[in-house]
Amino acid sequence: MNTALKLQGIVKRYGKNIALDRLDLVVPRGAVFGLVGSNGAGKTTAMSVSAGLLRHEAGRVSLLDEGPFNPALHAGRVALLPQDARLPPHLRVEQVLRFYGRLQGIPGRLVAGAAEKALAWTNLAGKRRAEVCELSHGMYRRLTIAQAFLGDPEFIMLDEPMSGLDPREQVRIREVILGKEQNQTILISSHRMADIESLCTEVAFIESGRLIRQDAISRITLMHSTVSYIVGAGAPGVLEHVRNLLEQAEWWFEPRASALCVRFPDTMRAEEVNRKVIPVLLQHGLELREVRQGVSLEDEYMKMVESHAPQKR
Amino acid sequence: MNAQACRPPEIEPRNMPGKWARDIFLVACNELADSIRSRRTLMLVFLYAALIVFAGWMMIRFIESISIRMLTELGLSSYEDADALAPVLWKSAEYQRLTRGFLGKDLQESAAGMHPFGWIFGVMAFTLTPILVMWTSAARLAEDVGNRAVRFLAVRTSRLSWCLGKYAGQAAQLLLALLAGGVCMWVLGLLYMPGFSPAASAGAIFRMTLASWIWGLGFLGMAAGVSQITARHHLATAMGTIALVAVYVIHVLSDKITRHDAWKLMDNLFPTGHYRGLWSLEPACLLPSVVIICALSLLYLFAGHLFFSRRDL
Repeated sequence: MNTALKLQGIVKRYGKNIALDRLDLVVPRGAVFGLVGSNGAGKTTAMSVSAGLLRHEAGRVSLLDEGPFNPALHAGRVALLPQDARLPPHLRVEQVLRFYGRLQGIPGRLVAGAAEKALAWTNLAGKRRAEVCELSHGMYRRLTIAQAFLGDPEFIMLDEPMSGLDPREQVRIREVILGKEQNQTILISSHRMADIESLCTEVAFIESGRLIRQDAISRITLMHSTVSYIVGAGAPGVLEHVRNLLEQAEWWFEPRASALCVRFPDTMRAEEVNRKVIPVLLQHGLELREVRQGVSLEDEYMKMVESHAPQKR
Repeated sequence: MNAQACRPPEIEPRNMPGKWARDIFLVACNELADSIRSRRTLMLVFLYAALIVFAGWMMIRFIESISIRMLTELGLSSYEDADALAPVLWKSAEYQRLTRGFLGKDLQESAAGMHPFGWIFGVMAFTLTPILVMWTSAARLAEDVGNRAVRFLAVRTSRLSWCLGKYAGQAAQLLLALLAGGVCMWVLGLLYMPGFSPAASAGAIFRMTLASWIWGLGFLGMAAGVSQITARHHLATAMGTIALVAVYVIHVLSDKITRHDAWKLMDNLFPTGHYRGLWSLEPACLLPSVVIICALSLLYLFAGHLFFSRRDL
């Protein structure tokens, strides 16, 4: 096996409420993996169970193919960015990272360098002497991200990493995630589909504590077989005119994204499709705002959630 | 790719011998530093020292009146024969009534010949230390669980190492507070007490500082045990205070009211059943008390940990 995380039939209850209902999840090593679900779907609980913070009633957890979280085995190799946890308010920024670094097994002679690297990544180098309680919300958030990347752990779990960050810092953190080491695995839980779509190679949708679907983003968004034309008003009317443009193609309109979508056979390429379709759309006076390869992850997620809604009731 | 190959080179090897001890030391140092930086803890230590100084001042005034009369009767000058003060005072019926009132008959025998500053400091420290411990330490672990700060640490070290580290840090903090109180008391005597013997009083105060520290450790274990069973720090403080009152009620019942064996047996499960030995200069009396109180302290801590090790963080 070569997995960073494997959850099998995990059950977790809070009193009478069931948070995880036989959840299965496999996060392959080296992936940037997205965990998507509505509020209360169980994303944070799944991460907390994986990190050994929460006890589960049933099922099996395997981290880095070495069984459930065990500090003797996993300290320094597994890191977590928890959602609402508080850092020690009176420690200085660099003291926090040095303390955590030493505790996770970075030798004393290297810990200062590791802390500096994490501070540079998160643009906090100028605040190294500041006390945690003096940081703004965004800086505080970046420090929590810095601690997760401290010492380059093998498996990093980030719970809503972009929340509270300004756009510039979001870009910076995105770059940090995309520039990860090849053998590092990052699990990201987020409500921001754009982040998941741009960062992750694989995604799992969970609802009501259960896995709805896990697949490569490219497969979910039909990246290699679909083109979406984001258009202004009048698109449904044009559908009739484009329907016969391509043989064996499937056309439909996505009202949520205002997108005219076409799924084409394997024998064609997206460039060919565009060459034929775009002139027709413009000819009919449509306002073409964006051409996107594949469909939007958000739409696919919404469809999946809606199709699973009756089961919840 | 296996786990060993994945681990960044700067992480210390897993299952490193003595890692648990190093983790306890790191957490303890951080706890002590955080306590010193925390204004709340400093305030409580300041209050503790102020109470000791106030009580010491009152006692000085009272003893001064006795000692001057005694020394005058014996034709001695208090300044010339400072070291003679203690034995002389112990011969005074008035002084003996005073010490019996504060120490009780048993302790009066143990403290016979002790420099007045020793037993005054001992009485104050033995009275205030359990309260100080419950008010400052009972909330410390619960607070970190409540605000989820523990989540940053629980992926880096074992829960037991964290608890023991917090306990050790609190123990160091307690020792510092007691030493600070002792120094204040000593300075007070130096400045205001006629016939003050710096060396003898320093020795007596230091001995009682150590004795009251051991005494405090008993309650610190209790506070740490209580603190592990709730995530609400106010509740932890309340529970600690209730436990303290219950311990004293049991002690008073067993010692002063019933003298029934069952109560005596129950009293022996708490530090109150073993404090007399801490006043003794005889190793045969002193050492068993030290060992039993330290063992009880760890017993309370581990009893709380039985719950903590299985709880959600």
